[in-house]
Amino acid sequence: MRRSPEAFLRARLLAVYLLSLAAVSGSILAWHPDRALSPLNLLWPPIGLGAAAVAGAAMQDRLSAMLDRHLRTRIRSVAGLAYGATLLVVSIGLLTGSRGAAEEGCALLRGLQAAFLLLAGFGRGSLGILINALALTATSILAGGPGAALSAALHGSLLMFFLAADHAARTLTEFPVETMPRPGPLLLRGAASSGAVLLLLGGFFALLPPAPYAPLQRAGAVVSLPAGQLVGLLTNLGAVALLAAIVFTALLRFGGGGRSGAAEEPAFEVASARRRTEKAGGARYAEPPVERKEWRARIVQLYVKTAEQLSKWGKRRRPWQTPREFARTLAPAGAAADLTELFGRARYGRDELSEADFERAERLSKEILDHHRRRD
Amino acid sequence: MESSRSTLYRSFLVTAIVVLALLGLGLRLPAFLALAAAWAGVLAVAWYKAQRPLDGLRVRRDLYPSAFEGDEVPVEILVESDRPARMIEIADAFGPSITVEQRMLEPGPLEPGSARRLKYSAFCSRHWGIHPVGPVQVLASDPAGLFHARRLLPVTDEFAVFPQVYDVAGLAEFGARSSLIPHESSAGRAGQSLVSMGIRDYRPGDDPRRIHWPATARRGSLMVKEFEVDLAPYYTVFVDLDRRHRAGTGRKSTLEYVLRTAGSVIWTAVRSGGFVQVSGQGSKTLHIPPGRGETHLTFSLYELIRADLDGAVPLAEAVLQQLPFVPPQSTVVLISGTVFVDLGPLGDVVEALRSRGSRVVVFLVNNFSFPAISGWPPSRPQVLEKTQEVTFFLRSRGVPVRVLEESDDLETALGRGGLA
Repeated sequence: MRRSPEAFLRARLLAVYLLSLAAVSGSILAWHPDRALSPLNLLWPPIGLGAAAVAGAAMQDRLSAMLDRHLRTRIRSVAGLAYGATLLVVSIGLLTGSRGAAEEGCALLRGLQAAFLLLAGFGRGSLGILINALALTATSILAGGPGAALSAALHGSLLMFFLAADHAARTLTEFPVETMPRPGPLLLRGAASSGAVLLLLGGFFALLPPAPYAPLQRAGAVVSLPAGQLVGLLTNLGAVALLAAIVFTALLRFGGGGRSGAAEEPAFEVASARRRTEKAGGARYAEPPVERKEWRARIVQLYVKTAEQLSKWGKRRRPWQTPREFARTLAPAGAAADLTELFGRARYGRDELSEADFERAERLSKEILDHHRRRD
Repeated sequence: MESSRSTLYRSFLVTAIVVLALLGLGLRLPAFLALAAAWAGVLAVAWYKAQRPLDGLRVRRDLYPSAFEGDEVPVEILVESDRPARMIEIADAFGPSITVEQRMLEPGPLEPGSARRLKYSAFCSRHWGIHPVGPVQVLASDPAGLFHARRLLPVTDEFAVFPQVYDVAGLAEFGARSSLIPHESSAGRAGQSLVSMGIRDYRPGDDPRRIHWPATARRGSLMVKEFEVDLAPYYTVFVDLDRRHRAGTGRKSTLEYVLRTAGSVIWTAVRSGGFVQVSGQGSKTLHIPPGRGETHLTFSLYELIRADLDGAVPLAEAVLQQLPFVPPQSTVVLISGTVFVDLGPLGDVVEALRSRGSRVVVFLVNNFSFPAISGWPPSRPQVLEKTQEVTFFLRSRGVPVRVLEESDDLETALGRGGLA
C-alpha cells in the first residue's frame, strides 16, 4: 500500500492558500477599506484564490513533467525578469507617492497572486507565491493602519506554518517510510512558532500602530475609516476567512482536491506481504495468483514510472531517443542498461518473465533513482 | 518537488529580512523593521533547534560482513537518542554498492531509552574485494527545515565481497582420502560405508548386527555383511600468484580468472563435503589450512580476495615446496596464470603427486589472450602451439586440463565445459 504524506501536503496547500488570502485581503483592507465589503472584494479572494490553489496543485506535476529542467529554468528566468520589472515599476511608483501605483499596481499584484498559485508547477517550490505575497504585504505596510498590521502579522506567522508543513511534506515524500508519523505533533510545532510570531507582531502593532508612508498619504492614496466601522469590517473579513479556510480544508480532505493522479506517487510501493487464504466454501473471493504474464506488465509499468520520476528530476527521455539511447544518458550505466534490457524483454520479448526478474528490475530502478536523487 | 535539504526558503527569508530592514530604515517605517526582526528571531531559533536533535544520538549497524558479488545485503541501523528527536535523516555509506549512499528517515518520535530499527537493502554491485561500510552521517533540521545540522558518526565496518563462484563440473569425481565419517564417495575395500560390498564369513569380534541372516541360513554358517570404506574428498588447491603472468585489467584479467577459478574450485569442493586447503606464493604467502564447511568456505574466500599476482615463485616450484602437506590419495588442483609452463618441472610435480596416489587437475589461464600489460606477447600461432603442447603433455599423463581464455565465460567454461 502506498503511503504518501497526504496530511502534510494538505496542510501545506492550506498554508499557501491562507497566506495568499491574508496578503490579498490585507492589501484590499489597507488600500480600499471603504470598498472591502463590496461583494466582489469580499468574495473573489477566498473563492478565486481557493480555485487557483486547487487547480495549481492538481496541475503541478503535469506542468513540471511537461518540460525538461533546462526549459523550465528558461521559462522561470523570463517570467522572473518580467515579474521583477513589474515589481520595480510598482515600487518606484509607490515610493514616489503615485496614487496610480497604489491603485493599479497593487491590483495587479493581487491578480498575480492567483496566477502564481495556478502556475506553481513551473516554479521552484512555492517561491513565486511567497515573493508576491511578501510584495503585497510590503505595499500594505506602506498604506499603514489596521490593514498593514493585519497583513504583516498574518503574513509573518502564516509563513512559519507553511515552512513547517512544507518541510515535513518534502521530507516524507523524498523518503517513503513504512509508518507515517502522526501529523498532529509535527504541524503543532509549526503552529506554535506561527503563533509566537503572530503574538510578537500583534503586540508590537498594538503598541505602535503602523503609520502610512507620508508621500502616499499626501497624494490621497490612503483611505481611513472610523474605528467603529473598521471593527465591523475586520469582524466580517475574519468570518469570511474562517469560513473559507474550513471550506477549503473540507474540499481538500473529502473532495480529493489538489491531488493530481501521479502527483506525489513514488516509483515504489510499500506492499505488505500476506498469506493467501484458501477458499472457504467457495463463498469468499480469493485473490487470483499473479499470472506469469503479469510480471512482464509490472516490469513495463516500473520502467515507465522510473522514467517519469527521472523526467521530474530533469532527466527526460526525448521523443527521438530509443530506450537504449536513453539508458546511455543515465547513471549508473550498468544498472540503466540492465533495466532497459529487462524492459525490452518484458515489452517486446516472447519469453515469460518471473517474479525474480521483477525484483531485479525493482533493485535496478532503485539504484538509478537513488543515484539521480542524490545529484538532484 | 524541491529537495528536503534545499536552502531555498532560508535564502528567501534572509533576502526578505535584508530588504525589509532597508525599507524600514530608508522609509522610517517601524512596521518593516518589526517584520524583519521577527523573522530574524525565527531564523536564530531555527538554527539553535537544528543542532539539538543530534546531541546524544547513537547509531549502530547490524550487518553480516560478507556476501557474493550481485547479492542483495540487508542492513539494519539501530538508532538511539538521549533526548526526544524527530525527522532524523540517516545516510550510510555502503561501499560495495555503486549507489554508495543509502539514505533513510527516522520519522520519530524517537524517545530516550527506546531504540528504533531502520532497514535498507543494498546490492553488491561493485567488484569483489574488501569495501568499507560507513561512516554514518546523521542529519537533522529545525521544524521548518531552514537549517540542517549534520554529524559524521564513526560507525565503520569492513565488508568482504566475494567473487561470484560457479560449480566446477566433474571435480567431485576425483581423489579422496579414507574417512571414518560417512561420505558420499567410497572405495571398493572393506570399511564402514553404507555402500554394501558383499558378504563374507563371520570372524570373532564382528558386530552381530551385521550378520546376514538369509546367507547364514543358506550356507549353514554365520555370514556377515561387508561395506565399502568411505572416502572424504580432500582437495589441495595451488594458485599461481607469479607476477609475470599479470595481464588485462578489471574483470578481464588473469588475476580475476585465476582467483575466480580458485574460488569456484573451493566452492565446489566445500559443497561436496570435502576438506580444502589452499596455497599460493605471492609477496605474502597465501595459506589456507585444511578445513570444511561453510565457515571454512567464508574464511577461504576472505583470504583469497586479499591475494594478488605479485609473487616471484613459479607454480611448479611452489607445489614442490608444499608437497609434504599434500595428503596421499587426495585431489590436487593446479591453477596456473599462463600456458607457458615449463614442462620439465610440471612433469616432476605430476609424477610426484601421482606417486602419492593423488589425482591432479590443471586449469591454465592463457595470459596471452588478455591485453598485455608489459612486453610483447608471443604470436598467436606460438601461443596455440604451446597450448596444444601443454594440454597434450598433461592429458598423456592422465591429467584433466582446462584452458581458460579471455573470451571464455567462466560460468560456462567451468560449469558446462567442466574438465576435459
